[in-house]
Amino acid sequence: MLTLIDYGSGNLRSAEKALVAAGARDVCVTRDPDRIARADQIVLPGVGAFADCAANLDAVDGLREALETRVREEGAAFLGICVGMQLLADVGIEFGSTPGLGWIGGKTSVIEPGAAELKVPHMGWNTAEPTGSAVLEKAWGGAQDVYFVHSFAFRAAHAGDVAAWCTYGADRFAAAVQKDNVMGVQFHPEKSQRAGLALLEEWLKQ
Amino acid sequence: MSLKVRIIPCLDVKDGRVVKGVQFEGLRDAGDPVEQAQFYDAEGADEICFLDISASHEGRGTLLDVVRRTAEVCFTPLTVGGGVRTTDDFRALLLAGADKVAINTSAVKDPNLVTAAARRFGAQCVVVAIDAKQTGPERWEIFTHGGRNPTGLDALAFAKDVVDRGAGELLVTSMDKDGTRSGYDLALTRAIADRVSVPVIASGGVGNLGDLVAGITQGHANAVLAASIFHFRTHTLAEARAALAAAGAKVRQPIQGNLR
Repeated sequence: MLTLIDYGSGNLRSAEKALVAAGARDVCVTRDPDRIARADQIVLPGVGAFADCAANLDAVDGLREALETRVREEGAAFLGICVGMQLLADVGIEFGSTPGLGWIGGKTSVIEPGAAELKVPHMGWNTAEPTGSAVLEKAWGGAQDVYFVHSFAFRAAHAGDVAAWCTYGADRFAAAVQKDNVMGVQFHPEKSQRAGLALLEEWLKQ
Repeated sequence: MSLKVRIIPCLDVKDGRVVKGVQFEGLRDAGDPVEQAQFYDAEGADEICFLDISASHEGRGTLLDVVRRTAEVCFTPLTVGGGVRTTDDFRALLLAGADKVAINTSAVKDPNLVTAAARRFGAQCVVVAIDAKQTGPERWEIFTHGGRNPTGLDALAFAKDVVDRGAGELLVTSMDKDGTRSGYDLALTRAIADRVSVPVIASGGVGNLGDLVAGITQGHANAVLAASIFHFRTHTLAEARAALAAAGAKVRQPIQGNLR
Protein backbone atom coordinates (compact mmCIF):
# COMPACT_ATOMS: atom_id res chain seq x y z
CA MET A 1 0.00 0.00 0.00
CA LEU A 2 1.15 3.52 -0.82
CA THR A 3 0.52 6.21 1.74
CA LEU A 4 0.41 9.87 0.85
CA ILE A 5 0.70 11.93 3.98
CA ASP A 6 -2.04 14.50 4.42
CA TYR A 7 -0.68 17.13 6.78
CA GLY A 8 -2.20 20.17 5.09
CA SER A 9 0.14 20.55 2.15
CA GLY A 10 -1.28 22.40 -0.84
CA ASN A 11 0.03 19.99 -3.47
CA LEU A 12 -1.66 16.94 -1.93
CA ARG A 13 -4.27 16.43 -4.64
CA SER A 14 -1.88 17.00 -7.53
CA ALA A 15 0.55 14.52 -5.99
CA GLU A 16 -2.24 11.96 -5.60
CA LYS A 17 -3.39 12.32 -9.20
CA ALA A 18 0.18 12.05 -10.50
CA LEU A 19 0.90 8.92 -8.44
CA VAL A 20 -2.25 7.30 -9.82
CA ALA A 21 -1.30 8.33 -13.37
CA ALA A 22 2.17 6.84 -12.77
CA GLY A 23 0.61 3.49 -11.89
CA ALA A 24 -0.03 3.50 -8.14
CA ARG A 25 -3.00 1.18 -7.59
CA ASP A 26 -3.89 1.88 -4.02
CA VAL A 27 -3.13 5.40 -2.78
CA CYS A 28 -4.15 5.97 0.82
CA VAL A 29 -4.29 9.67 1.67
CA THR A 30 -4.00 9.82 5.43
CA ARG A 31 -2.44 11.30 8.52
CA ASP A 32 -3.29 8.28 10.66
CA PRO A 33 -0.09 6.93 12.28
CA ASP A 34 -1.59 3.41 12.33
CA ARG A 35 -1.99 3.43 8.55
CA ILE A 36 1.51 4.82 8.10
CA ALA A 37 2.87 2.07 10.31
CA ARG A 38 1.65 -0.46 7.70
CA ALA A 39 2.59 1.40 4.51
CA ASP A 40 5.07 -0.10 2.05
CA GLN A 41 5.67 3.20 0.29
CA ILE A 42 5.31 6.64 1.80
CA VAL A 43 5.14 9.97 -0.02
CA LEU A 44 5.49 13.27 1.84
CA PRO A 45 4.42 16.26 -0.27
CA GLY A 46 5.08 19.82 0.83
CA VAL A 47 4.93 23.39 -0.35
CA GLY A 48 5.44 26.64 1.49
CA ALA A 49 7.72 27.39 4.39
CA PHE A 50 9.94 24.81 6.10
CA ALA A 51 8.89 25.86 9.61
CA ASP A 52 5.16 25.66 8.78
CA CYS A 53 5.52 22.22 7.21
CA ALA A 54 7.57 20.97 10.17
CA ALA A 55 4.96 22.37 12.57
CA ASN A 56 2.13 20.74 10.59
CA LEU A 57 3.97 17.43 10.74
CA ASP A 58 4.39 17.76 14.50
CA ALA A 59 0.75 18.82 14.93
CA VAL A 60 -0.38 15.26 14.13
CA ASP A 61 0.05 13.13 17.25
CA GLY A 62 2.38 10.18 16.67
CA LEU A 63 3.07 10.99 13.00
CA ARG A 64 6.79 11.68 13.35
CA GLU A 65 7.24 8.57 15.49
CA ALA A 66 5.33 6.41 13.01
CA LEU A 67 7.51 7.71 10.17
CA GLU A 68 10.70 7.15 12.14
CA THR A 69 9.74 3.56 12.88
CA ARG A 70 8.35 2.62 9.49
CA VAL A 71 10.98 4.31 7.31
CA ARG A 72 14.14 4.32 9.42
CA GLU A 73 13.78 1.03 11.27
CA GLU A 74 11.61 -1.06 8.99
CA GLY A 75 12.83 0.28 5.66
CA ALA A 76 9.63 1.39 3.89
CA ALA A 77 10.37 3.33 0.70
CA PHE A 78 10.05 7.08 1.28
CA LEU A 79 9.76 9.94 -1.19
CA GLY A 80 9.71 13.59 -0.11
CA ILE A 81 8.64 16.24 -2.63
CA CYS A 82 9.82 19.88 -2.50
CA VAL A 83 9.53 20.92 1.16
CA GLY A 84 8.82 17.24 1.85
CA MET A 85 12.38 16.67 0.63
CA GLN A 86 13.82 19.58 2.56
CA LEU A 87 12.32 18.18 5.77
CA LEU A 88 14.80 15.31 5.44
CA ALA A 89 17.57 17.73 6.47
CA ASP A 90 18.89 18.17 10.00
CA VAL A 91 17.76 21.76 10.08
CA GLY A 92 15.91 24.33 7.96
CA ILE A 93 17.26 27.86 7.95
CA GLU A 94 14.22 29.86 6.83
CA PHE A 95 12.70 32.57 9.05
CA GLY A 96 14.76 31.19 11.92
CA SER A 97 16.11 27.73 12.48
CA THR A 98 13.80 24.68 12.59
CA PRO A 99 14.81 21.06 13.15
CA GLY A 100 13.96 18.66 10.31
CA LEU A 101 13.74 14.86 10.31
CA GLY A 102 17.52 14.59 10.10
CA TRP A 103 17.43 11.49 7.88
CA ILE A 104 19.84 12.93 5.34
CA GLY A 105 22.61 15.12 6.72
CA GLY A 106 22.46 18.76 5.74
CA LYS A 107 20.55 21.99 6.07
CA THR A 108 18.49 24.26 3.87
CA SER A 109 19.44 27.81 3.03
CA VAL A 110 18.35 30.50 0.60
CA ILE A 111 19.23 30.17 -3.09
CA GLU A 112 21.96 32.60 -4.17
CA PRO A 113 22.25 32.72 -7.97
CA GLY A 114 24.54 35.73 -7.70
CA ALA A 115 23.07 38.07 -10.33
CA ALA A 116 20.18 40.53 -10.09
CA GLU A 117 18.53 39.27 -13.27
CA LEU A 118 18.41 35.73 -11.85
CA LYS A 119 15.25 35.93 -9.80
CA VAL A 120 14.32 34.19 -6.56
CA PRO A 121 12.09 32.15 -6.20
CA HIS A 122 13.86 29.79 -8.62
CA MET A 123 10.70 29.27 -10.64
CA GLY A 124 10.28 27.22 -13.78
CA TRP A 125 11.91 24.42 -15.74
CA ASN A 126 15.56 23.70 -15.07
CA THR A 127 17.78 20.70 -15.67
CA ALA A 128 18.20 17.94 -13.09
CA GLU A 129 21.49 16.12 -13.67
CA PRO A 130 21.54 12.66 -12.08
CA THR A 131 24.72 11.42 -10.44
CA GLY A 132 24.08 7.70 -10.83
CA SER A 133 20.84 6.95 -8.98
CA ALA A 134 19.32 3.76 -10.36
CA VAL A 135 15.77 5.13 -10.15
CA LEU A 136 16.66 8.30 -12.05
CA GLU A 137 18.72 6.36 -14.58
CA LYS A 138 15.84 4.00 -15.31
CA ALA A 139 13.34 6.86 -15.44
CA TRP A 140 15.30 9.27 -17.59
CA GLY A 141 18.54 7.77 -18.89
CA GLY A 142 20.19 11.18 -18.48
CA ALA A 143 19.48 14.78 -17.54
CA GLN A 144 15.91 16.09 -17.72
CA ASP A 145 14.19 19.45 -17.46
CA VAL A 146 11.77 19.43 -14.54
CA TYR A 147 9.66 22.06 -12.77
CA PHE A 148 11.07 23.85 -9.73
CA VAL A 149 9.52 26.49 -7.52
CA HIS A 150 11.44 27.29 -4.34
CA SER A 151 13.52 29.95 -2.63
CA PHE A 152 15.50 27.63 -0.34
CA ALA A 153 17.65 24.66 -1.26
CA PHE A 154 18.95 21.51 0.41
CA ARG A 155 22.67 21.69 1.20
CA ALA A 156 23.66 18.06 1.72
CA ALA A 157 26.46 17.42 4.22
CA HIS A 158 27.68 14.51 2.09
CA ALA A 159 27.87 14.96 -1.69
CA GLY A 160 27.29 11.21 -1.99
CA ASP A 161 23.69 11.71 -0.84
CA VAL A 162 22.95 13.99 -3.81
CA ALA A 163 21.19 11.96 -6.52
CA ALA A 164 20.88 14.86 -8.98
CA TRP A 165 22.20 18.41 -9.16
CA CYS A 166 20.60 21.58 -10.40
CA THR A 167 22.53 24.71 -11.38
CA TYR A 168 21.08 28.22 -11.18
CA GLY A 169 23.56 30.97 -11.92
CA ALA A 170 26.34 30.74 -9.35
CA ASP A 171 24.39 28.36 -7.15
CA ARG A 172 24.32 24.57 -7.40
CA PHE A 173 22.03 22.57 -5.17
CA ALA A 174 20.45 19.16 -4.83
CA ALA A 175 17.65 18.50 -7.31
CA ALA A 176 17.32 15.09 -5.65
CA VAL A 177 18.79 13.34 -2.62
CA GLN A 178 18.86 9.64 -1.93
CA LYS A 179 20.12 7.46 0.90
CA ASP A 180 19.12 3.82 1.14
CA ASN A 181 15.30 3.67 1.12
CA VAL A 182 14.88 7.44 1.48
CA MET A 183 14.58 9.72 -1.55
CA GLY A 184 13.70 13.37 -1.92
CA VAL A 185 13.18 15.59 -4.95
CA GLN A 186 13.30 19.38 -4.89
CA PHE A 187 11.35 19.67 -8.13
CA HIS A 188 7.68 18.79 -8.54
CA PRO A 189 7.30 15.45 -10.34
CA GLU A 190 3.53 15.96 -10.17
CA LYS A 191 3.97 19.09 -12.31
CA SER A 192 6.81 17.99 -14.58
CA GLN A 193 4.74 16.35 -17.28
CA ARG A 194 6.29 13.16 -18.73
CA ALA A 195 9.63 13.51 -16.95
CA GLY A 196 7.86 13.73 -13.60
CA LEU A 197 5.51 10.82 -14.24
CA ALA A 198 8.43 8.68 -15.47
CA LEU A 199 10.27 9.27 -12.20
CA LEU A 200 7.21 8.43 -10.10
CA GLU A 201 6.62 5.30 -12.15
CA GLU A 202 10.17 4.04 -11.57
CA TRP A 203 10.09 4.97 -7.90
CA LEU A 204 6.82 3.05 -7.48
CA LYS A 205 8.29 -0.01 -9.23
CA GLN A 206 11.49 -0.29 -7.20
CA MET B 1 21.60 23.52 -18.00
CA SER B 2 19.93 26.66 -16.85
CA LEU B 3 16.52 27.98 -15.96
CA LYS B 4 14.35 28.27 -19.06
CA VAL B 5 12.04 31.09 -20.02
CA ARG B 6 8.43 30.01 -19.71
CA ILE B 7 5.72 30.16 -22.36
CA ILE B 8 2.32 30.38 -20.73
CA PRO B 9 -0.97 30.08 -22.61
CA CYS B 10 -3.65 31.95 -20.72
CA LEU B 11 -7.28 30.94 -20.69
CA ASP B 12 -9.70 33.69 -19.79
CA VAL B 13 -12.67 31.92 -18.31
CA LYS B 14 -16.23 33.01 -17.68
CA ASP B 15 -19.02 30.74 -16.47
CA GLY B 16 -16.80 27.70 -16.98
CA ARG B 17 -16.05 28.49 -20.62
CA VAL B 18 -12.98 29.99 -22.27
CA VAL B 19 -13.44 33.46 -23.69
CA LYS B 20 -11.08 35.93 -25.23
CA GLY B 21 -11.42 39.51 -24.20
CA VAL B 22 -10.58 42.42 -26.41
CA GLN B 23 -9.48 44.90 -23.76
CA PHE B 24 -11.80 42.88 -21.54
CA GLU B 25 -14.86 43.74 -23.63
CA GLY B 26 -16.61 41.94 -26.52
CA LEU B 27 -16.12 38.40 -25.27
CA ARG B 28 -15.91 35.47 -27.65
CA ASP B 29 -16.47 31.87 -26.61
CA ALA B 30 -13.50 29.71 -27.47
CA GLY B 31 -14.20 26.41 -25.78
CA ASP B 32 -13.97 24.22 -22.73
CA PRO B 33 -11.13 25.19 -20.36
CA VAL B 34 -10.27 21.63 -19.33
CA GLU B 35 -10.02 20.46 -22.92
CA GLN B 36 -7.94 23.49 -23.85
CA ALA B 37 -5.64 22.95 -20.89
CA GLN B 38 -5.14 19.32 -21.89
CA PHE B 39 -4.32 20.41 -25.38
CA TYR B 40 -1.68 22.86 -24.14
CA ASP B 41 -0.36 20.28 -21.69
CA ALA B 42 0.17 17.86 -24.59
CA GLU B 43 1.85 20.61 -26.61
CA GLY B 44 4.30 21.14 -23.75
CA ALA B 45 3.14 24.42 -22.24
CA ASP B 46 5.56 25.41 -19.47
CA GLU B 47 2.65 26.54 -17.32
CA ILE B 48 -1.05 27.17 -17.86
CA CYS B 49 -2.93 30.17 -16.53
CA PHE B 50 -6.67 30.45 -15.85
CA LEU B 51 -8.04 33.90 -15.22
CA ASP B 52 -11.67 34.17 -14.24
CA ILE B 53 -12.27 37.55 -15.80
CA SER B 54 -15.81 37.93 -14.56
CA ALA B 55 -15.23 36.96 -10.97
CA SER B 56 -14.11 40.16 -9.34
CA HIS B 57 -16.85 42.36 -10.71
CA GLU B 58 -19.71 39.92 -10.52
CA GLY B 59 -18.79 38.66 -7.13
CA ARG B 60 -18.69 35.09 -8.30
CA GLY B 61 -16.67 32.39 -6.67
CA THR B 62 -13.54 31.04 -8.30
CA LEU B 63 -13.14 28.18 -10.69
CA LEU B 64 -12.79 25.36 -8.24
CA ASP B 65 -14.51 22.77 -10.35
CA VAL B 66 -12.59 23.66 -13.52
CA VAL B 67 -9.33 23.60 -11.56
CA ARG B 68 -10.16 20.24 -10.01
CA ARG B 69 -10.97 18.65 -13.34
CA THR B 70 -7.87 20.16 -14.94
CA ALA B 71 -5.57 18.89 -12.18
CA GLU B 72 -6.88 15.38 -12.79
CA VAL B 73 -5.63 15.29 -16.35
CA CYS B 74 -2.83 17.89 -16.61
CA PHE B 75 0.54 17.52 -14.93
CA THR B 76 1.57 21.06 -15.74
CA PRO B 77 1.92 23.94 -13.29
CA LEU B 78 -1.32 25.86 -13.05
CA THR B 79 -1.86 29.48 -12.02
CA VAL B 80 -5.42 30.55 -11.24
CA GLY B 81 -6.77 34.02 -10.63
CA GLY B 82 -10.03 35.89 -10.41
CA GLY B 83 -12.19 36.79 -7.45
CA VAL B 84 -9.71 35.66 -4.79
CA ARG B 85 -10.33 37.66 -1.62
CA THR B 86 -9.15 35.67 1.39
CA THR B 87 -6.47 33.20 2.40
CA ASP B 88 -9.25 30.60 2.51
CA ASP B 89 -9.86 31.28 -1.21
CA PHE B 90 -6.13 30.62 -1.74
CA ARG B 91 -6.33 27.39 0.20
CA ALA B 92 -9.38 26.13 -1.70
CA LEU B 93 -7.70 26.76 -5.07
CA LEU B 94 -4.40 25.19 -4.00
CA LEU B 95 -6.17 22.12 -2.65
CA ALA B 96 -8.17 21.84 -5.88
CA GLY B 97 -4.88 21.59 -7.77
CA ALA B 98 -3.67 25.13 -8.50
CA ASP B 99 0.04 25.72 -7.90
CA LYS B 100 -0.12 29.48 -7.82
CA VAL B 101 -2.90 31.94 -7.16
CA ALA B 102 -3.05 35.36 -8.81
CA ILE B 103 -4.67 38.31 -7.08
CA ASN B 104 -5.30 41.76 -8.49
CA THR B 105 -8.20 43.76 -7.05
CA SER B 106 -7.74 42.17 -3.62
CA ALA B 107 -4.04 43.03 -3.48
CA VAL B 108 -4.93 46.69 -4.01
CA LYS B 109 -7.85 46.75 -1.58
CA ASP B 110 -6.11 44.71 1.08
CA PRO B 111 -2.31 44.54 0.71
CA ASN B 112 -2.18 42.53 3.93
CA LEU B 113 -3.68 39.63 1.98
CA VAL B 114 -0.36 39.33 0.12
CA THR B 115 1.52 39.12 3.41
CA ALA B 116 -0.94 36.70 4.97
CA ALA B 117 -1.04 34.38 1.95
CA ALA B 118 2.76 34.34 1.60
CA ARG B 119 3.12 33.51 5.27
CA ARG B 120 0.52 30.75 5.16
CA PHE B 121 1.27 29.12 1.80
CA GLY B 122 4.72 30.40 0.84
CA ALA B 123 5.71 33.29 -1.41
CA GLN B 124 6.11 30.87 -4.33
CA CYS B 125 2.35 30.55 -4.80
CA VAL B 126 1.43 34.22 -4.45
CA VAL B 127 1.23 35.94 -7.83
CA VAL B 128 0.19 39.58 -7.91
CA ALA B 129 -1.44 40.57 -11.20
CA ILE B 130 -0.60 44.16 -12.02
CA ASP B 131 -2.99 45.74 -14.54
CA ALA B 132 -1.54 49.11 -15.52
CA LYS B 133 -2.21 51.97 -17.92
CA GLN B 134 0.36 54.52 -18.98
CA THR B 135 -0.34 57.99 -17.59
CA GLY B 136 2.92 59.74 -18.55
CA PRO B 137 6.50 59.13 -19.58
CA GLU B 138 7.78 56.16 -17.51
CA ARG B 139 4.62 56.38 -15.42
CA TRP B 140 1.83 53.84 -15.16
CA GLU B 141 -1.24 53.61 -12.94
CA ILE B 142 -2.75 50.48 -11.39
CA PHE B 143 -6.28 49.55 -12.45
CA THR B 144 -8.57 46.99 -10.85
CA HIS B 145 -11.83 45.17 -11.63
CA GLY B 146 -10.71 43.92 -15.04
CA GLY B 147 -9.17 47.25 -15.95
CA ARG B 148 -12.22 49.42 -15.25
CA ASN B 149 -11.31 51.16 -12.02
CA PRO B 150 -8.36 53.55 -11.67
CA THR B 151 -6.69 53.52 -8.27
CA GLY B 152 -4.27 56.45 -8.38
CA LEU B 153 -1.50 54.00 -7.43
CA ASP B 154 1.84 54.18 -9.21
CA ALA B 155 2.53 50.78 -10.80
CA LEU B 156 6.27 50.73 -10.12
CA ALA B 157 5.89 51.65 -6.45
CA PHE B 158 3.03 49.15 -6.09
CA ALA B 159 5.15 46.39 -7.67
CA LYS B 160 7.95 46.96 -5.17
CA ASP B 161 5.51 47.12 -2.29
CA VAL B 162 3.80 43.79 -3.04
CA VAL B 163 7.16 42.07 -3.48
CA ASP B 164 8.25 43.43 -0.09
CA ARG B 165 5.01 42.00 1.29
CA GLY B 166 5.80 38.54 -0.02
CA ALA B 167 4.58 38.21 -3.63
CA GLY B 168 6.61 35.48 -5.33
CA GLU B 169 5.85 36.55 -8.89
CA LEU B 170 4.28 39.45 -10.79
CA LEU B 171 1.96 39.11 -13.78
CA VAL B 172 2.27 42.45 -15.56
CA THR B 173 -0.53 43.32 -17.99
CA SER B 174 -0.70 46.54 -19.94
CA MET B 175 -4.30 47.69 -20.17
CA ASP B 176 -3.30 49.90 -23.11
CA LYS B 177 -2.00 46.92 -25.04
CA ASP B 178 -4.30 44.10 -23.98
CA GLY B 179 -6.25 42.78 -26.94
CA THR B 180 -4.55 45.07 -29.45
CA ARG B 181 -2.12 42.45 -30.85
CA SER B 182 0.49 45.20 -31.11
CA GLY B 183 2.94 43.71 -28.60
CA TYR B 184 3.59 43.99 -24.86
CA ASP B 185 4.20 47.36 -23.23
CA LEU B 186 7.93 46.64 -23.12
CA ALA B 187 8.83 49.79 -21.18
CA LEU B 188 6.35 48.88 -18.43
CA THR B 189 7.48 45.26 -18.30
CA ARG B 190 11.15 46.22 -18.18
CA ALA B 191 10.64 48.98 -15.61
CA ILE B 192 9.04 46.47 -13.25
CA ALA B 193 11.31 43.49 -14.06
CA ASP B 194 14.43 45.57 -13.43
CA ARG B 195 13.11 46.81 -10.08
CA VAL B 196 12.00 43.59 -8.40
CA SER B 197 13.81 40.48 -7.21
CA VAL B 198 11.04 38.04 -8.19
CA PRO B 199 10.11 36.63 -11.61
CA VAL B 200 7.93 38.72 -13.93
CA ILE B 201 5.43 37.43 -16.50
CA ALA B 202 4.81 39.73 -19.47
CA SER B 203 1.16 39.91 -20.52
CA GLY B 204 -1.21 41.81 -22.77
CA GLY B 205 -0.98 42.55 -26.46
CA VAL B 206 0.80 39.65 -28.15
CA GLY B 207 0.08 39.56 -31.88
CA ASN B 208 3.03 37.61 -33.24
CA LEU B 209 6.07 35.56 -32.23
CA GLY B 210 8.33 38.60 -32.31
CA ASP B 211 6.26 40.06 -29.47
CA LEU B 212 7.04 37.04 -27.29
CA VAL B 213 10.75 37.37 -28.06
CA ALA B 214 10.70 41.10 -27.27
CA GLY B 215 9.03 40.38 -23.92
CA ILE B 216 12.14 38.46 -22.90
CA THR B 217 14.92 40.32 -24.68
CA GLN B 218 13.59 43.88 -24.28
CA GLY B 219 11.01 43.53 -21.51
CA HIS B 220 13.40 41.47 -19.34
CA ALA B 221 10.51 39.18 -18.37
CA ASN B 222 11.11 35.63 -17.15
CA ALA B 223 7.97 34.29 -18.75
CA VAL B 224 5.66 35.29 -21.60
CA LEU B 225 1.91 34.91 -21.47
CA ALA B 226 -0.40 34.98 -24.47
CA ALA B 227 -3.95 33.96 -25.25
CA SER B 228 -5.40 34.52 -28.70
CA ILE B 229 -2.34 33.68 -30.82
CA PHE B 230 -2.42 30.21 -29.26
CA HIS B 231 -6.20 29.80 -28.98
CA PHE B 232 -6.86 30.63 -32.60
CA ARG B 233 -3.83 28.64 -33.75
CA THR B 234 -2.11 31.65 -35.27
CA HIS B 235 0.98 30.00 -33.81
CA THR B 236 1.73 26.79 -31.95
CA LEU B 237 3.75 26.54 -28.75
CA ALA B 238 6.46 24.77 -30.75
CA GLU B 239 6.71 27.78 -33.05
CA ALA B 240 6.92 30.06 -30.03
CA ARG B 241 9.71 27.94 -28.54
CA ALA B 242 11.60 27.97 -31.84
CA ALA B 243 11.32 31.76 -32.15
CA LEU B 244 12.59 32.29 -28.62
CA ALA B 245 15.43 29.81 -29.10
CA ALA B 246 16.44 31.51 -32.35
CA ALA B 247 16.69 34.79 -30.42
CA GLY B 248 19.05 33.18 -27.92
CA ALA B 249 16.59 32.53 -25.08
CA LYS B 250 16.86 29.24 -23.20
CA VAL B 251 13.71 27.23 -23.82
CA ARG B 252 12.62 23.77 -22.78
CA GLN B 253 12.22 21.00 -25.30
CA PRO B 254 9.25 19.01 -24.01
CA ILE B 255 9.51 15.26 -24.25
CA GLN B 256 7.59 13.79 -27.15
CA GLY B 257 6.46 10.21 -26.82
CA ASN B 258 7.61 7.88 -24.06
CA LEU B 259 10.89 8.28 -22.24
CA ARG B 260 11.30 4.59 -21.72
